[in-house]
Amino acid sequence: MQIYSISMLKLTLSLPPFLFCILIFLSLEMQVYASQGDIIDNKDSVLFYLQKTHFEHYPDASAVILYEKGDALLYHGVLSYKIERTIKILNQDAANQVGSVILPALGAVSFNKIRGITYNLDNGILVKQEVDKADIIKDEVTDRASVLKFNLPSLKAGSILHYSYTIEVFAFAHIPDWNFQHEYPTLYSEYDMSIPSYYIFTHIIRSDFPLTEVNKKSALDTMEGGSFFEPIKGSGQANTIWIRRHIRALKKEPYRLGDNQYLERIRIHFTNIGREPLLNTWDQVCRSIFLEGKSYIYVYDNNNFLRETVDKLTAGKTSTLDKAKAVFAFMRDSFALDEGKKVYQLHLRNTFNIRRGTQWELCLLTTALLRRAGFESDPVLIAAKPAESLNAMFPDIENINYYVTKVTIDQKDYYLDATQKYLPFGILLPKCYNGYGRVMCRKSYGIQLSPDDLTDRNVIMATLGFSSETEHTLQLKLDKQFGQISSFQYRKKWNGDQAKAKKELKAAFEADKFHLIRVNIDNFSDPDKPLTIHYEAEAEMSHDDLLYMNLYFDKFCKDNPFPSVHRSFPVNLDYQLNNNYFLNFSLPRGYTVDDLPKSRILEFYNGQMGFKNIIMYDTSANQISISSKFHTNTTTFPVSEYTDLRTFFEQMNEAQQKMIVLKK
Amino acid sequence: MRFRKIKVLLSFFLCILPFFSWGKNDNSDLSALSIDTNLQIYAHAVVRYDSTFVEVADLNRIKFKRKYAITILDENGKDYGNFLQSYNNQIEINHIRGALLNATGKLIRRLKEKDILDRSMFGLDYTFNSDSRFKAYSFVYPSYPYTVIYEFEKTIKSAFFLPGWSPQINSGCSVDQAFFSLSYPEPDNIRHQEHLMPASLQKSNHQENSIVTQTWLLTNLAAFELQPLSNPSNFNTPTLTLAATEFNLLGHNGKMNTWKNFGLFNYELNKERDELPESTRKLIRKLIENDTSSLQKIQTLYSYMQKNTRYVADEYGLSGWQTFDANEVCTKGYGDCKGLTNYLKALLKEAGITAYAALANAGEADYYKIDPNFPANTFNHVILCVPAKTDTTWVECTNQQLPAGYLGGFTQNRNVLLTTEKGGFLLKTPAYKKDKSFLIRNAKMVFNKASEEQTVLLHNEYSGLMQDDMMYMLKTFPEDKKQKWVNQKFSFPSYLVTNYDYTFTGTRKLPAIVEKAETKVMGLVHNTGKRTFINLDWMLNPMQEISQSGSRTKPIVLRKDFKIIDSVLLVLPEDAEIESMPSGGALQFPFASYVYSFQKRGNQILFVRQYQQNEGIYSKENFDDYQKMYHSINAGKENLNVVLIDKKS
Repeated sequence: MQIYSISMLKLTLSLPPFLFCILIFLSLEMQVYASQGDIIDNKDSVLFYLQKTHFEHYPDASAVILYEKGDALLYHGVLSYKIERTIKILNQDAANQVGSVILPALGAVSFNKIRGITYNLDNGILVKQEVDKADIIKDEVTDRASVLKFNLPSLKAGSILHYSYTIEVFAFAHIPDWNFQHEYPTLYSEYDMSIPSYYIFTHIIRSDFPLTEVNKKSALDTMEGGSFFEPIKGSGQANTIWIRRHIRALKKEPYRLGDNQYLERIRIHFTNIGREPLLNTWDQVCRSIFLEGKSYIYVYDNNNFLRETVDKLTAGKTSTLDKAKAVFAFMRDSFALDEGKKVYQLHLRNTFNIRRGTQWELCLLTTALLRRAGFESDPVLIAAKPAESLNAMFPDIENINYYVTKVTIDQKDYYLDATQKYLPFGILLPKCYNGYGRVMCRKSYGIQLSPDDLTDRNVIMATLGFSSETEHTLQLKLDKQFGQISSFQYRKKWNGDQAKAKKELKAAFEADKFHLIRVNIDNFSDPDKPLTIHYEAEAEMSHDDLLYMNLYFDKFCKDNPFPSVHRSFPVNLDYQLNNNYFLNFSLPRGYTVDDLPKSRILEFYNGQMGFKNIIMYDTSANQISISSKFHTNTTTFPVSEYTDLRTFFEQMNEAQQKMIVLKK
Repeated sequence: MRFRKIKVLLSFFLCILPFFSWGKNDNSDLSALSIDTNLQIYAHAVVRYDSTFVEVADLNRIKFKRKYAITILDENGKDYGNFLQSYNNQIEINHIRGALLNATGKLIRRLKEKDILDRSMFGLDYTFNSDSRFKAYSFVYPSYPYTVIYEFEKTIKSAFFLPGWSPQINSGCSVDQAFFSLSYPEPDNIRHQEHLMPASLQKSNHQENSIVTQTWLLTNLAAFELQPLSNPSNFNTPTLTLAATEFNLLGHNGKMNTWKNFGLFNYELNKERDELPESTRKLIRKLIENDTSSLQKIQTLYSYMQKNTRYVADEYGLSGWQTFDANEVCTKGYGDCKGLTNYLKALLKEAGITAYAALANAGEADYYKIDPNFPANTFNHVILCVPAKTDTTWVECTNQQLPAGYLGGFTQNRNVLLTTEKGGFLLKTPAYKKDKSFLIRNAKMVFNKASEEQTVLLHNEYSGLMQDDMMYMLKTFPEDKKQKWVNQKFSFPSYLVTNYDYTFTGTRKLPAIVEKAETKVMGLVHNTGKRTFINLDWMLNPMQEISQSGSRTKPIVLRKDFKIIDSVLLVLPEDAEIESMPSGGALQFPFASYVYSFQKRGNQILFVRQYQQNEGIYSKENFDDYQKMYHSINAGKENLNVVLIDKKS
């Protein structure tokens, strides 16, 4: 139910996977097999599909959506939204997945005309079984959220299920989004919208097939996708129909953007009611929804209550950057993020006093403090992954789910998030680098936050040698300096527990031949400095004539991150990578190098990803040195490059598995 | 005498408690600065005091009052400061109060009732419908340490739901003082059992008129480092469990003083709910008309049920304990463990086969071990037992893939309570030990020196518990998902499966799967200037890693009993010259054995490794050996290489 999308998402996120799937399923939008109507209206169609055990075009499907339709009627300030869906179940797993229907609601939403039917064949006879009204359960999840839920009866492999319901809610100018694409393939999906004819709208369509507008409704009957517009004479309403046929299932893949970036769907946005313009632009949205709110006065004007604090924080700081960092560190280290806040009422003075707030409140307070300190600073509205990124041309405010602060210092822009305890100044969570963002200020403007703006630089320095006391003991020193992202991720995982950190680091130490003597961590709790790990380890040295050794004590990746052979979507990394491994090995006395792997340079996708592995033997010093570097210059790789990407990682792993051979 | 003892203890307790007063703004006695240093080691939070009073008025009226203060020491301890109490139709929560104090004990703010989250459990557990709800609140505060204080009452309407007491929440929390008082009228209707109580526990027992009061006082419980694989029991910290002798559950009287009585109560509660529609009865008779043995009939009817029903958990009110009618499950085609078990029981009854429901505590790892000497309601699942003189059949009714007669890891090897018309009987479910749960892998690799990619042929057999997960995937995944799975399941560095086949073998009581796969593997062969390293140890380490920083003070508890035998045949070119090859090795300890060998036969090398793990509890002295074996197996990835040399280069 996209109408309540943001709040409802919070509810759905807490659901177990199977229920979540259903909810997502329900929130998707609709269409049909034959445009004449749902197959359940025709007994022969039902029998035909009940007998069907396999869909030629979807051989791997566990279920197929035969028909789905959404009817959105906006009339006299009430949105009536009817959903119908008919699904063929092809295996038991799908019966378990889709057999429970969950209808979530927030606030004053009423569900009407709920109906659920299962069709089965029993010895060749069509058996139709309806959900009893008594089996439709209402669960008051919280004081504001509830769900209606029911189970389709006698559902099994081979069944066809159908359900429909109508939602009624007060709505001024809102029509739910419609998703044509789901977890299962869809034969027919249709969205009908009826709105007052003086409502002017625009729409954003994402479809693999163009939804060409036709002049006759009947023309839709033979189209893979199309639309039809029709004013209803005398009613003051205008209808629009969009249809789509034969939509493949949306597959999950790792290193892919969220579902909402790919789903075939339609989104409606009203631009005018008659001659009265609605919120057509981001500028209007920022001005009317945000800046005109009374609470923003604290950010821009009445922020004197912050003066004393700001003065204290910036006292003695000579550079503007240091001042900003001091303000940011104060916010990050002194305030708690209150994610479960039940009563929402923005009051920055109160947020400041109680030292806690929502993500939005803390963002505004950070901005207010920076402004009070004399900086040019504004909040930025963004859609963090996995949400669909904001649209630069279209104020899709329902996608806004995160807020950060922008501050400009010496003509350079920094983006800050003080709600994350372990984030350094000037870095956002990787999920925030999701394209368009809107700076909210009196002259609002857009920015781009690209994952390419973020690079995680990791440096590993290894030294291998022998104890001065005994030549039987091989000593390894490994210093790992993590990049900003890795440092953040580790700090967040360890959450200040150094004992836990050391335990995990010991367990993760890869050199199994070595006995770990000690692990030390530098900058454990200072987010503004790189996290650094120092290992010291020893191994008893064999004095065989030949010694085989692998000298990569910290490999760039243990396994190929792309095990799957096939790929449907581009590969998207959250940030760029730059990993470096350097080793110096002073050979034991009496040994020399007998065999050394060749140096290797790999390049992929026109140099956008590279691996350079240089191995050198200095005969005079009897020393081996390795310089191994892996880097990316982009975060997006097209599907066409996938096989080569997979091979690249295979070869890089292989290079770091190679042995050297020493002989006496 | 007993009276005096309790008086003394109560007085002592009330004197020493740094008791918070709701009206006070300054509570320096709860200052975090006054916490004993010993209580801060390993601790993220310290229970400053915890006083719990349980007053049993009668079978249907129990008052539970609790007041406690916890100091949160660091970020990792903040969850200890959350208020979270569950309730349902039989348990009410009232009078919740709370306060937040800063490090010195100064009152920062109080909990406001309107800020408490009251939420149903929907979406947070496996149930589709239940009356379980919870109330939750969190003081969100950024400066550590700080202290939270909560006070609340519960009214419990049935002695079926007696609470327990476990003041040390887990290993990361220490306890300064914790007090528990239990009072009930004579005759004695409450039993208790203590677990892991320290020697310093102080107890009292007192009777005034007909009311018996028992108390427990724990002091100075230090936090500790959790030692993996060390817990032979159900508890990690001192715990008191209570159970009623008699109870009334929503109008149904019962006893749980013996397993026999508790089993009888469950039987009576669920009896006469096994009537089936006439059409189904007719169908059943037809389905089994060609079956000649009971086992065949069980299999036929189980299979029928699996195909025609699905699992939906409805635990609202009494339906949490009483099954839905078989007729209803039959009509709707879904039910929970009770409902599906009762349904199959009804189907079998129609076939002339008597079966009984058995209450179980299910789960692969952390199931609650039933104590034969302490009957209590500690079950979370129901399975079906078809008794026979020589060959009892156990059936897991919520699983749509298992064969009848095989339970899988979810309910194997534990005590369950069979519920019969003669009462309850504790029985042990079948155990699938290493004679039944094993993995035999055979691989053949013909070395191709012209390529970095090698072809490896696999022929593997998975038996018993080792095939549980695979069976589910193979029976439920569509082909594209199966293909994806098979290309990720092997532990080669990187590979592509070009051909695969799975065959279900074994028996109904012991399923097995034979897997055949042809793989193109990268990363097994590494060339240097003149040598080729062929690594043959690509299998995962079957041992569970034990990661702990302190010394081992607790035993090693291994719950799994299995064996894995791997054979890798490496075929080399006729002209290959082997420079070195591992000779083999063996580690044998009471808890496990690991043996591997390399044999050269002509141009072939056979690498065989065998790991056997023995279920049991082993003294802490085995810890170093355990670690040695674990690291030794891990090191194989680097050590177990066949090295070929090309002397021409």
